[in-house]
Amino acid sequence: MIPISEETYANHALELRRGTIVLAVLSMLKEPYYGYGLLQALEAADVPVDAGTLYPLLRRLEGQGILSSAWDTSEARPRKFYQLSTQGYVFYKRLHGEWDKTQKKLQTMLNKGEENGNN
Amino acid sequence: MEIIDRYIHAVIRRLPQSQREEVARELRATIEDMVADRARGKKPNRAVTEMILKELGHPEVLALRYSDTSAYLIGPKWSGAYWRVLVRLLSIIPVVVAVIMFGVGLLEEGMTLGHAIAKAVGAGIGAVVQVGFWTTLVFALLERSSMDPAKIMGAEWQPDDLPDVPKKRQIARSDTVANIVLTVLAIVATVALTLPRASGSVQVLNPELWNVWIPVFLGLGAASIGLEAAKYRVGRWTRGLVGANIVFNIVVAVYVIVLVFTQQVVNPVFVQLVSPHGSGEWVQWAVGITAVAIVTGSVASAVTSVYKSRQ
Repeated sequence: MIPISEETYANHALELRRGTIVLAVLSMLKEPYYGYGLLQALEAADVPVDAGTLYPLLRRLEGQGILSSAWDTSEARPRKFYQLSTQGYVFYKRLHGEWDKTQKKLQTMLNKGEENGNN
Repeated sequence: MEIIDRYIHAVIRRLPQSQREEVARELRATIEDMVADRARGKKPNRAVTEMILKELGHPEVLALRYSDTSAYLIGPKWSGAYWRVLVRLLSIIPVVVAVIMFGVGLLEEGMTLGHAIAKAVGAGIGAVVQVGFWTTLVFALLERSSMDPAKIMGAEWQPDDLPDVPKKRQIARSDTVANIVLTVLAIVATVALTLPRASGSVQVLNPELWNVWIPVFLGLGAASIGLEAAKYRVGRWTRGLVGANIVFNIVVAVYVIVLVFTQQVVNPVFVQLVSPHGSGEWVQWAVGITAVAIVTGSVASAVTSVYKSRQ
C-alpha cells in the first residue's frame, strides 16, 4: 500500500482554501482598497493570497460587476482602488449566506463522523 | 526601473489591445508599492525588485490569468466530446485511406507489393496527422466560442445508447473481419497482378488464366465472403456451417491442385524477365510451395471447424 504523499495533502488543502478566496476578498471590500493594500490586509488577517492570483481576480470581479474601481491620483503614486459595487454588496451577502449554509451542513457531518469514528 | 518596464511589457503584450493600458498602469502601481514596502525606506534596489517579480510569477502566466480566454486548449466543457470524436475518426479514416492507397499502389505502373505497402502506410500516417490536427483545431475553436456542447453533439447520452455486451462467440468477430479483409486483399492483388495493361509492364500471373481460372477464383472469393457472413450471423459452428466449410475447403483445395498441375500460373514472359538465363525453375517451386500452403490451410480449416463444433 503506497503511503499518501505530502504533495497529495498539499493539493487537497489548497483546493479547500481555494474555494474561500473570493468570499474572503469580498468581505474586505466594503471599504475601498488598492491592490497591494488589500494584499497586506489579507496577510494580516492570516488569509494570504498570492499576488499573481489576487490582482487578476480583482479585475475579473470588476468585469463581472461585483466590484467598482476608481483611480486615486491625489498621491504621488496613482493607485487604483476597488470596492464592492451596490449590486456587489447584495451579491456578497448572498454568497455569504451560501457559505453559512454549506458550513453548517458540513460541520454537522463532521461532528457525526467524529462520533461514529471515535477519532 | 527598467526591469519593471520589461516585465510589464511581457505581460501586456499577450493581452488584447483594449486591456493593455489599464493593466499596465495598475500593475506598475502595484509593483512599485510592493517594492517600496519591501525595501522599507531604503532605496529600492534590483535584488528586491527581482524578488517581487518572481513572486508575481512568469509574465505569460500572469497574462493568462488576466485575460478572459480559456487557459485550456480544449477545456472540460468540450473535452469529452473531443476525445469521443477523435477516437472514432482515427479508428476509421486512416484505415480506409490506407486500404484505398494500397489498392491504388497495386494498380499503378511499375508497382511492387512493397511499393504498394509503403504507399499505404505513408498515406495512413498522413491521414492520422490530418485527422488529429483538424479535429483538435475545430474543438479548440469551439472551446473559445460560446456554443453549447449539448446543442452541437446532440441530446445527452442516454443509458439506452449503450451497446450490448458482446456475447461470447465461438466464431469471433475479429476472425470474421480478418478473413474478409484478407479475401478482399487477395482478390484485389490477383486482379492487379493479372490485368492486361497497355503500357507494357509485365504481368506476374499468366494472362490466359483470365479465361476460366481467374473468374472461378473470384467466385470462390465471393463464396468465401458469403461463408464468413453466414458464420458471423450464426455465431457458432453448427452442423450446417461445418458441412459448408468442409465443402468449401475441398473445392478450394481441388481448385488449387488442378490449377497448379495443369496450368502455367506465372506469366511466361514474367519468368523470362525474372530469370533470363536460368530455367526459371525456382518460380515453379515458389508456386508449388504456395499451393501446398493453401491446401494445407484448407484442410486445417476444415478439421478445426469439425473439432470446434464438437466442443
